[in-house]
Amino acid sequence: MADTFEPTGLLGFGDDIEMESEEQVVASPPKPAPAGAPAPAPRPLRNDMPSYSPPPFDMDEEPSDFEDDVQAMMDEEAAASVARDLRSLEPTAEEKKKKQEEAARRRRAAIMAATQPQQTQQPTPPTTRKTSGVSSAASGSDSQLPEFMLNPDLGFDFRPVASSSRTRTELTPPPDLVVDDAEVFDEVGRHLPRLRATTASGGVVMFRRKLRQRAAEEEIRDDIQLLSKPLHKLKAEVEEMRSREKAMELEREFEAETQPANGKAPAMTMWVDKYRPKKFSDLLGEDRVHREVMNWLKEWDKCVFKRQPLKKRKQEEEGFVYDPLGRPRDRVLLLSGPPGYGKTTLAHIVAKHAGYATLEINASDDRNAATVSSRIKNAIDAGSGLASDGKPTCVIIDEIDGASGGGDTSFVRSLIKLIQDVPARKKSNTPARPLRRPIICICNDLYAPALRPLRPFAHVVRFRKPASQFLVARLREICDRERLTADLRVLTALVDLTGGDVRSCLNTLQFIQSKSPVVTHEAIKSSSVGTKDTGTTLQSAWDSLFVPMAAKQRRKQLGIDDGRYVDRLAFMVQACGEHERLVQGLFEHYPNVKPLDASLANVCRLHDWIAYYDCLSGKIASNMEFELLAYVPYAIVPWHTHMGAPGNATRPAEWPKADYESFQTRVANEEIATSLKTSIPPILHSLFTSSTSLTELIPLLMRIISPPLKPVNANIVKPAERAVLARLVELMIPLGLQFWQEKAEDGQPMMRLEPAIDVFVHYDGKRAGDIAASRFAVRQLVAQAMDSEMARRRGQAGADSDASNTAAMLAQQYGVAKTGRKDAAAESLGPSTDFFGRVKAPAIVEDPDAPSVPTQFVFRAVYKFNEGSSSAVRKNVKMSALM
Amino acid sequence: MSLWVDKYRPRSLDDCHYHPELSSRLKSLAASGDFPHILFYGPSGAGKKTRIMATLRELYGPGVEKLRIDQRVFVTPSNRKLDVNVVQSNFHIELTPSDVGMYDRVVIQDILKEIAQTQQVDLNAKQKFKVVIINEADSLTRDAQAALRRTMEKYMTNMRLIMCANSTSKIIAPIRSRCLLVRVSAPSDEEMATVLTHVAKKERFHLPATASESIIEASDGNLRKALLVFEAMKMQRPDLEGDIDVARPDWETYCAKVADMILQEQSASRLLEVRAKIYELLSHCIPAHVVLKTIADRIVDKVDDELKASVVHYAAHYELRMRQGSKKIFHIEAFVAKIMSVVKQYALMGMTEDWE
Repeated sequence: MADTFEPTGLLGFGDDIEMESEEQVVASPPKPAPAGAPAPAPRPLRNDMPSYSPPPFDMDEEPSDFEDDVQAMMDEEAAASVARDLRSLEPTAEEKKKKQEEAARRRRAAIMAATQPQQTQQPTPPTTRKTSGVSSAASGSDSQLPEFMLNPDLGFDFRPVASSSRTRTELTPPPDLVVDDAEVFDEVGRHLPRLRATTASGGVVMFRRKLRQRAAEEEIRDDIQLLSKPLHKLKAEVEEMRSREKAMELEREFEAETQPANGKAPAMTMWVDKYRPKKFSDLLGEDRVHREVMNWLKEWDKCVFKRQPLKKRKQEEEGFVYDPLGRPRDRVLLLSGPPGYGKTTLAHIVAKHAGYATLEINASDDRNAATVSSRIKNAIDAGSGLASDGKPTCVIIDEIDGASGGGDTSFVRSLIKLIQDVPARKKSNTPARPLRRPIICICNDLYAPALRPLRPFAHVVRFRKPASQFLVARLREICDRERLTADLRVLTALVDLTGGDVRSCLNTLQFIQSKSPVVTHEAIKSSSVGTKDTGTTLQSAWDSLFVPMAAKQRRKQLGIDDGRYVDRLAFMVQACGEHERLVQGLFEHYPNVKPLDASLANVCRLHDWIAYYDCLSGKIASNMEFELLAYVPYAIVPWHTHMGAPGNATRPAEWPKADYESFQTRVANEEIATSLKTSIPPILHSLFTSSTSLTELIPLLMRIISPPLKPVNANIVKPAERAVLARLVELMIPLGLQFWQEKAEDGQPMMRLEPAIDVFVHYDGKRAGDIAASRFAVRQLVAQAMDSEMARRRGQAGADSDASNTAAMLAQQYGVAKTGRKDAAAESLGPSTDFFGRVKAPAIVEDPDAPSVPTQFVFRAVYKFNEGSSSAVRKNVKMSALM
Repeated sequence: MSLWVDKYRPRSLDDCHYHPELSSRLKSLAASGDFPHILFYGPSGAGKKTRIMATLRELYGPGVEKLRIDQRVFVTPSNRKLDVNVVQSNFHIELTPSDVGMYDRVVIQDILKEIAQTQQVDLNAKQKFKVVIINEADSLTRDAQAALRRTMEKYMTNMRLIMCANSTSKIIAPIRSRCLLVRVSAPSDEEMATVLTHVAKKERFHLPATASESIIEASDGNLRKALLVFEAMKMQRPDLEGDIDVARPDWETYCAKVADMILQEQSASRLLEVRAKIYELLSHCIPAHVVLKTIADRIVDKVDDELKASVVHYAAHYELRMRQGSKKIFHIEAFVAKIMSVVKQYALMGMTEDWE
């Protein structure tokens, strides 16, 4: 019972007793009588208790009315803490009906106590009192609060320290400091020795032990009061008490109204929690969505509560899957929508409404595969303990899109397993325990990669922006309750600014309320700008660059209509971020819009800005000069200056695709050009650079290889045409060009040129006019001729030593070649025919007749050719040398 | 058997049909044994490459003509692998920096070091050094050019550089000063006619003068192109007689069409149509500056004399911007819009904009 006493340490003030008395003088409302003044009528009571006689150095020996004493004793226990205000005393005032009787009882008790003073004192357990500093004063004094302090009128700014020190010395409860010789005994009669302490100045102070009053004694004392007070005073007191109770009642009522959840919530709760909807009917937003969620949850009733749904659903509904447990087809509900639209609230309310206890798992919880089995499964199987109240559990997985991890062990995967009733261990023969409780998942981004596997199994509900007028009405109501002045226009602006995010709206309002009682546009602007950094979509950026904001809208959103747009648009462009695509979209769309200045000069001025932007972005990309990035938005804003017009609203910008398509085609075409370049002879490779091969070689080559041939049988073609064909074959083989037979998409056989350089003569999907249509039959003819030529060359390269065969081939070849190009034939004559399609030595070309052996001359030449490489000396040998 | 461009390419300096004084100088250079680094420059199709190859033949003999394509793999500092096709003979190697884009510095450094550090293996070779040919030297990045500077001096004993460019303006001065600059100008019309007749004679047919003229006109001093056009025409219309159409590359025809569209109508919707056409051209891998230049050429041909200067001015203006920037289509369209604006203003008010 006894407090530890710290003798010297706390007596820092030398004479803290004096200090106490000073405070008392300042604060105690009733005028203290001068020290040593005779006590008023009830005083004899105290005189009966010699042990409580004031200590000699205690100066605040003022008389106080008796009631004070008694009340203080009565309150001793309740007043244990230092910081006590009126409200904390409420418990005593709570029993309204009993109030008067209680007062009467107290007085009766007081009387009894007065008549038996020794009794009261002797048995009380003594306590040590700290006399040092304020704390001692406080702790000592609190126990003896006078009743007037309970009075709202008098007691609002009372100072416990001061009043207590006053009461302490004169009241019947034991004073803290006693230096008299009276011994104190506790209730069992043990002797309580006096305490000894030293002041900082070295003086010795003795304290008597204090006896704690017991409730019975208080009551006894209280009763004494009854007689000691005039009736009219008592009446006034009662009146006061009543009015105070009334006030408190009103206050409680208000609080209960504003904080229905926990009536005793501290004043500073977040409004978001304070005004969170509690009932299904309180929900903001689309009713359809709410009902959809509710319906889904109700579909579980058959499985969970074993009761048939009230409304018989059509069993033969389209896509109905019979489930033996009566579960809905999609066993998971996936709520998706931007933050602040009330998804979590809806989930909780609906679950509560449908009779479930909820288990929420959100991003703050550890979410891995183990969670699914440990928490979710357990909760589903066993209910969530005592809190569930015997209700089935509905698991709410909040912020599921943040669940990380891929692979088989991720949270989402194991959740899916749970949904699909996949047994935990594959080998085990026991079937998995089927899912018998609903699971609601909540996400912001429905298309988060983590959710991809879950989506097919989930009943997806998308949240949309709550209707502005309902939200505004709700905000208005809240503002009224919070005594915040806000007109509808301001609230509408706030809703627009936050994009319908209720949470953001409420937080902003609460923030504003902490500063001023009136919501203004400026306040909203200053507190909201930057609070919600959602970023602008490309579409809205395009729109706002092309369509100027109507004056009305501008006033509404920004509060001021000063016609400024650069900062606003630059901020928006910055928020959008994707500068390149943004500009591409603007660029592809601008000829479609109708600017105010439709002249081409205006377009040219705009193009100066585009060039500036391009220059900037080029520098940023190539030299990594990211400090230039700050200027980019200002290079984009002029689109608005030059192209913005109200009429553009009817022509929304479309997603840019022309540039990307063109890029893709270019890449594909470059591939074709490269494949040609690798197949052509090296000399051509070096003669034509990559650009000249595209601008000169390929288009003209296409003309060279598409002579106007007629598709007739190879045997009956005219000699001139045969020459052309031969030449064509000669050309195409070294260039690596070939025709391949293929089936077209419509099943028609077609000959495809490989590499497909014919794309370079097709513009706008049409073949150039001066190239003869390359018909299937012609190409086939060419392909056949090429095949036979290739076969022949292979035969030659295979070094067939049969001279007659060679001669026959030569003769045949000559026959073909004779008609048109002798040199062509001649070139392919010798046994060292250009195997790799390499250039022949010019000497042979220049002089076609020399190597061509007359066919009439029958000769035999036998030579051996060893294939492979050799380190032997090489020498050019002519056939004639061997003859 | 090959294309005429290749078939009738002069193999030696003596065979060249025009610029005889250049040929003789190159010949004496090759014979002197004090062969410098050379930068050949001149318009496309003037015969730079032909002369380079002929000079090499003069240096090393016919062995240079034995070309092969090697696929080489280079590793960039960022560990990216680049496959580059390199044309080389025993005596020289050819590089085309535009094949590797922004990594040309790595390729140039690697190849030059490799060449420079190995001596000529063939003891019979006439020259101690090898030659590195850099095609399209004007597309070398600044980094690559800077990397060349020191190498050119340091490895002079083992290696010579022959660079080939359209203009020297993009070659940094230090490199220009280390090279012998050789300008190969485009052949005159007569010279081209001589070459065409020579080819016709070798092919044993008669080339009518009208056809020759139209080919020369269409090819714009580009002999390579003229030969290709010639061969294409011969292939399509073997007689070449009468009034025949010159075979033109499709993109040229298309550019001309675009230019006509610009001159027909000047409006935002036409701008959109023109843009679609330009995208079509770009997706056929036609370089953007070529597109711009060709369209500008065509427009200059068509508009009144008073407008010609400003068309050329704006073509230059927007081509500069295009080279400074990164997105080609923006600048081509800016040019088109500007020309439309100029043409429209001229048509309405009969005056030209003061563009200075």
